[in-house]
Amino acid sequence: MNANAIEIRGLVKRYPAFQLGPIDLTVPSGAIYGLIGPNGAGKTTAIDLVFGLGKNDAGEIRVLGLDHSRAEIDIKRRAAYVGPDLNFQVWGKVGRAIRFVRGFYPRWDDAYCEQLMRVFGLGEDDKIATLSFGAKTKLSLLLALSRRPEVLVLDEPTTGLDAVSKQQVFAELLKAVESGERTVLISSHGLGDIERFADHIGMLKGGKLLLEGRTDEIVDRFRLAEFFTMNGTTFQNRPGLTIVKRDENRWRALVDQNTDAKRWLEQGGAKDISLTRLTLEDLFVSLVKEEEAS
Amino acid sequence: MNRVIADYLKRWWWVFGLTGIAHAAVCWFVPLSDGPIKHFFPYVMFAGPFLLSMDLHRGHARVLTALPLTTGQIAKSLWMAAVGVPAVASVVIGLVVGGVSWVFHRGVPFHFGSLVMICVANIFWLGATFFLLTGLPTRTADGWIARLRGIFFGSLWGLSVGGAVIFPNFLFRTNAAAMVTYAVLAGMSLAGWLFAESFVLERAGIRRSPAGAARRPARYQVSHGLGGIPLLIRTTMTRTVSIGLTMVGVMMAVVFMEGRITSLDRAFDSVIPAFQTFPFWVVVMFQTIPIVMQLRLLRTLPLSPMQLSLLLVILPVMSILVLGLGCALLGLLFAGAAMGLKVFEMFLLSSIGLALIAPAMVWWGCNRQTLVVSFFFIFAGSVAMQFPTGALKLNEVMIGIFWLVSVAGSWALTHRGLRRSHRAYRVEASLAAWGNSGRI
Repeated sequence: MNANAIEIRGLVKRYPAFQLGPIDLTVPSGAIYGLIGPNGAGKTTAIDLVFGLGKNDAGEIRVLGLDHSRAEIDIKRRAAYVGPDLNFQVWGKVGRAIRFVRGFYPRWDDAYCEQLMRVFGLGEDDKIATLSFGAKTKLSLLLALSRRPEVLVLDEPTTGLDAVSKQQVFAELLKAVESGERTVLISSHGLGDIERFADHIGMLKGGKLLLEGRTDEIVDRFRLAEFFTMNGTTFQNRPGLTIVKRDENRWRALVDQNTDAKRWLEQGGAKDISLTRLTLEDLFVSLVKEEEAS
Repeated sequence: MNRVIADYLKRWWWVFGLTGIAHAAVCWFVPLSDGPIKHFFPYVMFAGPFLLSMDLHRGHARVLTALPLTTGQIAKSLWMAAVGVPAVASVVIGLVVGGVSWVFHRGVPFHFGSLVMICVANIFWLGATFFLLTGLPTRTADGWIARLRGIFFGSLWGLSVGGAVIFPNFLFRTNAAAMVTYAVLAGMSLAGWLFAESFVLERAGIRRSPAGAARRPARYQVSHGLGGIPLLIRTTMTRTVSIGLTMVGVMMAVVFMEGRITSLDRAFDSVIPAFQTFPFWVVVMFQTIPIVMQLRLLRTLPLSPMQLSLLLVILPVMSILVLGLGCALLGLLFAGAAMGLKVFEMFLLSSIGLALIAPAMVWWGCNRQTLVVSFFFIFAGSVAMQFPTGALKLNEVMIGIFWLVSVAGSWALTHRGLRRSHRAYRVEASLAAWGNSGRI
């Protein structure tokens, strides 16, 4: 088994008004990797390129150790994609869509498929057109999981799902990776879910990868610092320090504990510095705001 | 209301422009000959409810119902945009161009009656096709009554496109026939106006009554059988060919019912002009578009771009050729071998246009450029179809070489597009948003 399920090196994709990359991204085998970022950050573009939906202008993508353009069919046999834009409606009924997709995968697991149909409440005769948005996502997930993929790539799978459905989806995802043989790359705006389920995260913003690593390490690395200043002392953003809010002499800033930002604050005249642990969502908002502020 | 109409006109101005030019050409020449009107179709085929159906496929009705407008206002707006405005424009163009034509043809007998007939036919045809649009099946339609209704209206809708070419040949042949035709079309127009409101609700995916409580228990078993690409081929080809052949049969039946044509060979001969357009649209609507709609899905399945491009190009071509073979056999049976061969050549030439649609859809998605290219192929195909029997007679070998080069070129372009373009995979272009009318 390869140490990394997906390796992206120097990936660049240029559009007239947007450029993704260059980015380096590594999804370890057996991990649940959360790709997060604000709207328009380039998450879907990156995922699309993995599946050959468009051509990268530079860089290399390797999935399960295979080059994504040379071994395209092999990769697509072993990897599955779930996204909100997949259209099964032309197949009319759930059963026909399943029959169509099953025809591509010799290792298709009928028993698991039927079990998922029960869990997700999708009958063979259900009309796809009348399914709710969430049920369509479940169908997409069912079609992906039933082929027992080694790599599962999910683009916004929880959008439009209620709390119960979301739990069902994540429960199935966790089951899928519990043996350690499967890898999940998931892009989502549900940061609470990502923090809870993903063991690795990558944060994209404006086409660039801001952060990547183990979720607990990243969340642990940053702290929200609250402090006071006197005599009109001011601070500016610098590597490892992001000013989040200033209310006269009261400050809030994001501090990267891997840097000497805290010491720099103390030396600069910050008083009563208190550090608070952040959630992934707080961290995300602060980092996104950092770039907006700058 | 006015904003809805203005928005519609603003988005589709180029179609109104092109069809207006075609309509002006008709109004210039038709009053110069004394005979039944035959050529009123270019305007009503493309500038009326057909255009509105494009918007509805993209879920336009659902968007409108979210605006601060009553359903009645939306219905009236859509009716005005698809019927009222084109009808008024048709009359204005007819009168202005006809008047100028009259000035330029002072010494020639000028038949104002034909001009008036064209304008009236346009108005009623627009109104009647709007009525047919209200009855088209939606994806949420359930139960056999809804299905039968959908098939009935769907067939008439299909015929209204192909029929606009052939029906004028006999519907307006005599004054009596014209009066009956006008009466029927007027009745349908009125019905279209009356049903417009419920039509908007239906297309917006809003149920007017609670869904049936007696839902069958769900079956959580997957039936076995054909899957993958063979299932795709079988499903789309069967659907396309059967719909196409049914339409030919209905057209011939209509010709017979009119009573003036009693022999099969003449009946077949009278439907031949429709072969210039309807097979193209049947295959585009029932095969090419359904495949393009799921292009994103297909690209994530284990299919190489080479295989997928072959599928996108060859499958519609095969379908139209199978349909052509069926029609050629009918021609062979009813009108002899020469007619059979001529009909097959027509379908062969149409298949070139269909093959070239595939790269257009992959490179541009289903947007304006693709629509323009489609219309261009239809008109180019109509011209090319004159070659086998016309002055620029092409032999079979030349047609064969032309066909091979076009299909191979189309395949190469589609393959390149699948690898390089991203447009067809995106929602706005990939038609993945089409059919939103069915979303609850």
